[in-house]
Amino acid sequence: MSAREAILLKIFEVTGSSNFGSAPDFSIKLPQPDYEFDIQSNKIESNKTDRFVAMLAQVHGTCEMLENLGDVPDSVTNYLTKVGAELRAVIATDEKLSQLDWRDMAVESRAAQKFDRTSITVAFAGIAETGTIAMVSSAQSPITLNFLPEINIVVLLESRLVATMEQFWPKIEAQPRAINFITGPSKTADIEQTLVYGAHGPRHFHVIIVKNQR
Amino acid sequence: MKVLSQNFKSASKAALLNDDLRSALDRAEGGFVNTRKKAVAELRNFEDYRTYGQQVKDHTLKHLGYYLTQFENKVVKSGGHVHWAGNGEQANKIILDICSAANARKITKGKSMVSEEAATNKSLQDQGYEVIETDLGEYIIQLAGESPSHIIAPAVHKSKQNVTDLFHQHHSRLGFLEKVTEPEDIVNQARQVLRDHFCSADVGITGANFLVADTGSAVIVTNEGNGDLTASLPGVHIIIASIEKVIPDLVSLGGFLRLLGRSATGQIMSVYTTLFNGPKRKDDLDGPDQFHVVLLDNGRTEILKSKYQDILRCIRCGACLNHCPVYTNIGGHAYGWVYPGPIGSVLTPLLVGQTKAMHLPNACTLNGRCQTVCPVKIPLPSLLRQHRVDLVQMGAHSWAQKFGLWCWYSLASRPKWYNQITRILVAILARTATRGRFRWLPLARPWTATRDFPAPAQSTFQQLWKAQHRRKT
Repeated sequence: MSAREAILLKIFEVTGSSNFGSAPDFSIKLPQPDYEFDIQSNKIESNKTDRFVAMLAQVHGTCEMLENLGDVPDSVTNYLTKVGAELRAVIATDEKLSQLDWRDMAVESRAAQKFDRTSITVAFAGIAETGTIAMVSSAQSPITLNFLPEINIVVLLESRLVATMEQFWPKIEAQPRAINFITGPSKTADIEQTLVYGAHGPRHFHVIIVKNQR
Repeated sequence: MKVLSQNFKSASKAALLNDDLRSALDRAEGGFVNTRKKAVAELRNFEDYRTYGQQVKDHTLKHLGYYLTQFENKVVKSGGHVHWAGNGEQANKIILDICSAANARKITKGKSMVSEEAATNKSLQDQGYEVIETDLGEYIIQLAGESPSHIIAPAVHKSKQNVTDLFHQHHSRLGFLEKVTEPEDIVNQARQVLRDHFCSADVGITGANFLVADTGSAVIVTNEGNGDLTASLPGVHIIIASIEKVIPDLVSLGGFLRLLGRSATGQIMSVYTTLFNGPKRKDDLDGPDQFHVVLLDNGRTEILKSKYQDILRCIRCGACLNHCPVYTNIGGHAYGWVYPGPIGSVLTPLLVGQTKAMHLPNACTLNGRCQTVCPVKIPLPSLLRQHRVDLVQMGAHSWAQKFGLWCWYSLASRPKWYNQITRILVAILARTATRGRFRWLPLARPWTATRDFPAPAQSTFQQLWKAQHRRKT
């Protein structure tokens, strides 16, 4: 008997045959999260952005709001100058980024490599409840860009912001290889409970929220 | 991992006398308890989520066969492989075969408690593989040749000075000659050393916090990002997870994520939560070529059959450890196996043998704090009590304990004798005490060695009750 059969047989002995046939009736309802800050209400659309920005700040992430996608290169240049980084970045293989005029910046579209300092990606969605960026892997969105570089800049279209994780799931049509939920820069408290940023992943996590896709 | 739980008594005594360990534990406990409290208060219906977590886990366990096979089908559909292992040895054999087929030499590892159960590192190292733990805490204890002392903070017992010395000892040959003493510099050095390993590893092994049956997703939650680098850079990704990690669907995952971060580290959401669905796709620019999931039983099906089924709801957040007065005083190593604290005191006897780990369920004050913070409402005190009942029925106790229990039983089941004898005893004790306490008492040395024993009141509760009753009538 294989290990698989042995394990399933033991489970079968306890739970009975109903276990393997048709899908069980799973009707336990997930509670709606109840926060002081109302993010569910659709009356106040701006609440979502406010909550996202506030939650991101709580976890040491930074944020900038822009009117147009075309303003991104200038904003990135300013940000990198401010944190004292080279004006060089690996950008996601996404048209939204490659079509931009990067002027002062040296950019390359590819997956990340060991010594890349800065990456720029396009968020699949943002989740207001937790200040989380959702990245979905694809040929246009290599996942290493989210983890290897020291500075990770994410462009989030405001229209891609959802209130909760429950509103995010339906946006996924076919399961990608990987979904990464990212909430702030990488951190550790393994040395005497002292919080240190930039454990293995990005030290700086900067989100640029863009109102119009122009 | 070798079982040392039988040495609990001497190990816990030694831990209590270890000042460095005590101060490390004090520092951690306060932090964990307060941050959890804040994060829980922020979600006003957190209690509803605890009920939800309990119900969903119970439902999944009731239909475990269905959900496991559904998960398997989905993983295979997305191009991955699923392997089943009855015990740690089988799991290690599967992992060794995958590594050997991939001609691997270097293996990076994310945090995995079940791989500690199976002693996977040792089995790989014995075959000549280089194995590197990548979670900073795990890396530190790997350098020290120790085992984790906390489920989510494995190096919580280590001081900054310990780490400074360890890094100096192990990293100077890599060119890091100066001692690093500040947390930022320590973390930065680990980042540089481990980066080389991430980028040159042939196989990455991680655990899983959840397995989502409906989509075939393995979910890992970290703050450092080491799990994702371990999973994404090598050509082969192996996930090792025990069978009770499965949950029905993505919606239920949302519920558990709200519970996990808050209960574990007091975070509303951990930094990285990743769902892995199989190997690299045709057009992907990165990701592993092979994706394997090893589903490990290692005693779970036996627990499923037993009175201890509730313990299989555990999501390994560590909240019960942080709130346990025993754990926070002796730390994790005294428990002698993979899982310390209340969860360990229930689980270890079930996985390694009740008599071998019999001291663990007995070293509990039954204060119940663990149960009130458990995100899936596991009745830990009841399960610990059940262990005690089992142990008595098995006759596992020493002759002296059995005799003591027999005396107590004989007395307590005869109310008349009980009243008389306690009355006399109490009267003697109350009269012989100096300034209301005893510095020494026969048979009570373990207590009086470290503190005074308070003298009882002049009369027993029964006497007072009778006296009051008489007055009223």
